[in-house]
Amino acid sequence: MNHKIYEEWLVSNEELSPKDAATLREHLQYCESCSRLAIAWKEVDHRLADAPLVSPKSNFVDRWRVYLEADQQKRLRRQNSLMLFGTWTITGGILITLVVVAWPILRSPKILLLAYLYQFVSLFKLINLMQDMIAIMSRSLSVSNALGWLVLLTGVFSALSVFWFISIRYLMSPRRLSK
Amino acid sequence: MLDNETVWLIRAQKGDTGAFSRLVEHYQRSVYNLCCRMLGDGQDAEDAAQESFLRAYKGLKRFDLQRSFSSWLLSIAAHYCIDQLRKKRFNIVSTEDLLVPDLPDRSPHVESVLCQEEENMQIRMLLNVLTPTDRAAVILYYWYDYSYQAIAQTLNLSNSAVKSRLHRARRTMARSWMKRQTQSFNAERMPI
Repeated sequence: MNHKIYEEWLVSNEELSPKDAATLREHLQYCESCSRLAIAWKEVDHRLADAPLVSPKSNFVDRWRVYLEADQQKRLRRQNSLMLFGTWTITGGILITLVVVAWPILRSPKILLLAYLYQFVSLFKLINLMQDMIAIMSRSLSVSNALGWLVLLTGVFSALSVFWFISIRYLMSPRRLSK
Repeated sequence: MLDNETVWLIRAQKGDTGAFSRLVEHYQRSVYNLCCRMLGDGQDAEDAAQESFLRAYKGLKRFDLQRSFSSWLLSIAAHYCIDQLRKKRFNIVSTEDLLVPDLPDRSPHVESVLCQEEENMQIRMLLNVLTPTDRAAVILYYWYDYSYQAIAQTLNLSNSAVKSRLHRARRTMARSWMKRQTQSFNAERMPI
């Protein structure tokens, strides 16, 4: 005999139709296993319905705060390790690339020395060129309104000083440092 | 006018740890109870409750204030416990773990404590025969008076799935209870 439908009715918390309820009652009168299941389910349902909420030990919130702080520290350490690892990786990569690129030059240092000498001479040439440019600019500035330029430069430097001061204040604010 | 919880939530979403601590204080019992009933062990439940609150705190910026915070929080806790149970295979619990611990003698409350322990042990044994998701559905149904729809939302299931899971769970618990009763009856009848 198939008891599945009766078992479903037994553990259902929905109201059965009068016809189904009568069929179930009739079945329970002669089916021992289903009536035992019905009694067992009543017991279980009663116990579950009566079970109270379990409370945690006292000072749960304090322990949670400690847990949160520990997690934040752990995250910070992980971030630092990642950053360090990233820096080392990038540095290593750059170093390896430089070695690979410079390998042919390192094998013949004469060319390298000549190249450096050339760069050194070019630097001197560049400095000379810049000196000439500055001389031309200063001559042209002295011809035009010198006072105007003085005011403009003072204004720019003042603005930069204010900007620098605000930036320092913002970076050193306690709220930002505590984050 | 906003109620206290919404105010705490808004403040906590802005990074106010103190406001979130108020929420922890308010919901500690319901989250702990869920974890305790799910995992069956006080220390594991404590850890799971702490972790659930931490996950809620981290994900709070994504929380929609139109939703119920308690459902969202219990959903986090339930999913965390389900994962833990699946990882540790908590279904296999030795009977030694379920024994009543030794109690300090001659205490005036020994009897009531024993009774409470016995009740808790029976509940644990009943819940231990269920799969993690079925267990969560039963707990939400009996301890939190959640409707099928609320359970479905909390556990990301369909309404019909919740209904069939609860059905199956009830049948499994009833059979387990029946089996235990038979075993204890046979044990009592055995000659010493």
